[in-house]
Amino acid sequence: MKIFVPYSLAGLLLLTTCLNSVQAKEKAKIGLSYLKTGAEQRQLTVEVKSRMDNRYQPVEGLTLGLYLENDSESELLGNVVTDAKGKGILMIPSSFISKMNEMSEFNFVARLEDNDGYTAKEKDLLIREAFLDVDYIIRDSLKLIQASVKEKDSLGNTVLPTVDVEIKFLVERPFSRLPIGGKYNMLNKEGKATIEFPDDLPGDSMGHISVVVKIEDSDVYGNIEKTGDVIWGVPTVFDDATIKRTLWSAGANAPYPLLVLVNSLIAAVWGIMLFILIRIFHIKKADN
Amino acid sequence: MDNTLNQAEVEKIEHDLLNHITHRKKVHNIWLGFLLLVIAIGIFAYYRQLRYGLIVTSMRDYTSWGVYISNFVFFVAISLVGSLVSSILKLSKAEWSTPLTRLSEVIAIASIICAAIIIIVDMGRPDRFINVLIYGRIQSPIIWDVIIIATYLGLSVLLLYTSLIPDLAICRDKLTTVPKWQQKLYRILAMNWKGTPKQNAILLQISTILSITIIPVAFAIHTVTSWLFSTTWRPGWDSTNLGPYFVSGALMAGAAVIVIAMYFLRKSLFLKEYITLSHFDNMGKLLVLLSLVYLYFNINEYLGPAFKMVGVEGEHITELFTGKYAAMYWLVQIGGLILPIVVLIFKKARTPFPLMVVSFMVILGAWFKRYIIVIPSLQHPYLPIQDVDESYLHYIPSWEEWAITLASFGGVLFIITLLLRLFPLIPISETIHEKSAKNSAS
Amino acid sequence: MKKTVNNRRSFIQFGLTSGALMLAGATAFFQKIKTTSASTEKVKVLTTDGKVMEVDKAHVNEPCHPVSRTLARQGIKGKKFVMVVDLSRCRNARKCISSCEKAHNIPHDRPFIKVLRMQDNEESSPYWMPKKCFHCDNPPCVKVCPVGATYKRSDGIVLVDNERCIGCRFCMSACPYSARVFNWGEPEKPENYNCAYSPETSTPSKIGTVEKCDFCPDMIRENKLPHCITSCPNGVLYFGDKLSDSVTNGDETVRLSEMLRDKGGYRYLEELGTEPNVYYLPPVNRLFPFKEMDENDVSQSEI
Repeated sequence: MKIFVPYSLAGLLLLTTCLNSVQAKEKAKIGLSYLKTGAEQRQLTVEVKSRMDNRYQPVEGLTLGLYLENDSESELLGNVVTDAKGKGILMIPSSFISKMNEMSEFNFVARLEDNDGYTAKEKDLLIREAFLDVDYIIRDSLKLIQASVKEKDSLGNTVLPTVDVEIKFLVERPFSRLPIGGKYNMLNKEGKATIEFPDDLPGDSMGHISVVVKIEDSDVYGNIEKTGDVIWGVPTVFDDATIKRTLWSAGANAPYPLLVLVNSLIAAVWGIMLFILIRIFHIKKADN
Repeated sequence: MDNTLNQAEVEKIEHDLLNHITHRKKVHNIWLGFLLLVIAIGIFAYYRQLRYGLIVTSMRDYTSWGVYISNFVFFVAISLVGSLVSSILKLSKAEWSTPLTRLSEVIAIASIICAAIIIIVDMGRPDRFINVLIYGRIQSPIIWDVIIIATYLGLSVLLLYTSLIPDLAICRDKLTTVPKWQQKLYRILAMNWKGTPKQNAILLQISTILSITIIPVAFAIHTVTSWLFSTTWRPGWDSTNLGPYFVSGALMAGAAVIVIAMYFLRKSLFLKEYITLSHFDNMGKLLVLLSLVYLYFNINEYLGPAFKMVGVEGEHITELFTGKYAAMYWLVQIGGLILPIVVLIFKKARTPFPLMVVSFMVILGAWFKRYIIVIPSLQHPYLPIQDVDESYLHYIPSWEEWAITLASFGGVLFIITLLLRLFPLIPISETIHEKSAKNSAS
Repeated sequence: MKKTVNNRRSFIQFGLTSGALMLAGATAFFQKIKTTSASTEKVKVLTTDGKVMEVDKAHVNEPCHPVSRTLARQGIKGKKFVMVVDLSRCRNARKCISSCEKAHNIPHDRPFIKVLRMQDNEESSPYWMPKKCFHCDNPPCVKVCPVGATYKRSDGIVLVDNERCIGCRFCMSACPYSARVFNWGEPEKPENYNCAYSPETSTPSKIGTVEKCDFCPDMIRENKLPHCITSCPNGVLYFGDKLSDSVTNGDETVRLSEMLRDKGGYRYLEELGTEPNVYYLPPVNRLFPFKEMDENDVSQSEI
């Protein structure tokens, strides 16, 4: 949500400049973000909204071109079509990865061409490449996760520590990721941040937990995340209560005392009734 | 059979007591026609309910059980009369009750059948009744109720039938003018009864077993019915007193029903010689006794909660004592319980007409008492009733509900009337037997 | 005697049917992959045994994919779903109600969720209390159901099978929280909804049967939050897995144990012993001052 504040401001600016060009076309608001999950895995996400009925709503089915721009040239990384939520995701093709590995900064542009419904619009995003490493350390029975981030110096060597950037430590849970460690974890002068892993966090039945370390929505670095798996969780013992014999179980799992009681009562009374029926037929035979 | 009665006396008894089978009066046919009309209106109402759903009733999400359930409880209560007279009184050697045994058994069977039908009427998906048999969960009090109703119905039919066997033989031998099918029916059902010593011995054995067995089952049927309520947390239902409270109320209502039936059948079937004033006197005394027991459980039921006034339980009590249901509550408690006790203490009140009137009040009270037990409790849930249509806050039964309820009464009376067209109301052979025993003693 | 025979028979039946269903499901799944091989996008879904699995997006985005009634009885393995309601944040926006109504095709007169105006006593301040089914661990409704139409699953969710329900309404009497609603009349046919019924979707409704909040197991299977959680503008409702000790309101994710400890979490009417799976955080340090609702508020919130 908060990344849209600057965009909407920019959109307002654009609106004033275009005021004299009178046309009925809608104006789109474009959001652009970058995510790196590994050296080979980088993706761009665009999000397009437009003002309808006095509020911004996602626009579906728009095609946008995503470009990597240099001082002089502009290369098309690929096209994306927005979905129902107005989002489109592009995995950057591997053909560009080796080229990007040479660079220390990328200038991405999302471009919407002028079409029947919308005026032309573009959005650029400047990302400085950073490299995230995560170490899982056990020291004095403390479980620690250490993130270290480096970036390229002017010579292109990955040596410079990245400092003063917030780094998030998360564990995978159903539906969402749970933050662990302190509230804010900033990279120190050495480009490092360390948190203590909680010792009471449930893992799966073996104690496995997926950890995600992440730089999130940085104006400079975009999103960088690295996932790992640790066996530091408390193994979860799943207690399937539905197989127990309780009053709320399925009919087949009725408590034994209840089954015995009810069935013996039924057997007793219906047994007596059966006996009486038999005796009634005895009456029939005892007529002489 | 004992020979202390002469042939003429025996024939007179047989003639008197078979008279209502052989001589049908026009008024009886009109009566049956009237009952059929009431039932037909009820069936039409039920047709509407089947077509449009339970929306035709006034029940809604909070008052999710209404007059059907309270009426069901009422008829289950009435059905206890069978065990009261033909078993409790019989085992306690109250011989005066002999002429009333068959009447009580017939009423029991009729009301238990109608109770079972009403519970199906209350179901949202009667077409899925078979699910109860396929998927029945033994943990559910409803399944207990289904089992106990079937059991009690079976036992009641056996009780009625076994006591009928000697009379069926009399019908077989004496009623030669009735239609062929009816003669055939008597012949089959009479089981070759000839009154041989061996047959008498077997009959005595099974009727003793039956009258002992039916007591716990009768107590169970109404106790299990009370558990439909006491296994929940609703105010007024969340009570350990509910079982005996229901059973004692049922016995009281059952006695009142017997009195009313006695009164009308005695007149319309010319049985004044057999149902005598002393029967009314005795039933009056019994009614006082049973009412006192019920009063005791009533005090137990309301004193604790009214003293403590805990949360919704307190709201519920306030509603009954001084609120929306106060008029009905006090009419039921005073008119249907306290007044009958006070009035029936006097010997003059225990004569046919006054006793019939008082019994009518008791029955009316008993019916509305069950209404008061079922409905106000549902209107006091733990969480406040909000954001609902105005109609959810009140419950006044719709015409369809009244029509079906009346039809259930019609059904009970219809079954009783039909059974009395086929079978003698007063046990003939037992009457002969007792009279001859009395003669030989004197 | 009869009982045990029945048990054995039903067990065999169950085994056969579930086996057949799995086979059918598997073949259907592979056919699906063949026909939609063009799509490369993957989404995460939660499988029946509780694993997060990546599947073809085209497969998930189908308009309907309700699980069978047999599978809907088993629950998602290794999970125990809980909800936390932070009463200090609720201002009766009623978005949970409208999104729930939309998702389950239910009319206004029998909502699965209610936002109640509560006031514990005259002196204390009123507050809004969103209330839905508590999915109790000792569920009174399931105890009393004569046919097992309402049942509790291994993941803690209590569902209603409206194709088995006989409409006796004993569960409605038994529920101390008035969580259940009944289809008194013929429910309106939902527009543009042609999916088969599943207890996991609770739609389409059927006349003469009981319904209630189902914790949206169809969403959970796709590793998505129930509709009420995501539609709440104030982050009142948290949902998660008790065994993972985490709940989320869509914005923030917190440890369940810490939240309950730090904010004094409680369960409504604990003394009844129903063991609810919905927790409440008391209405202290409120985000909004209490404002009475008038008719306009309701109609506005429904737009």
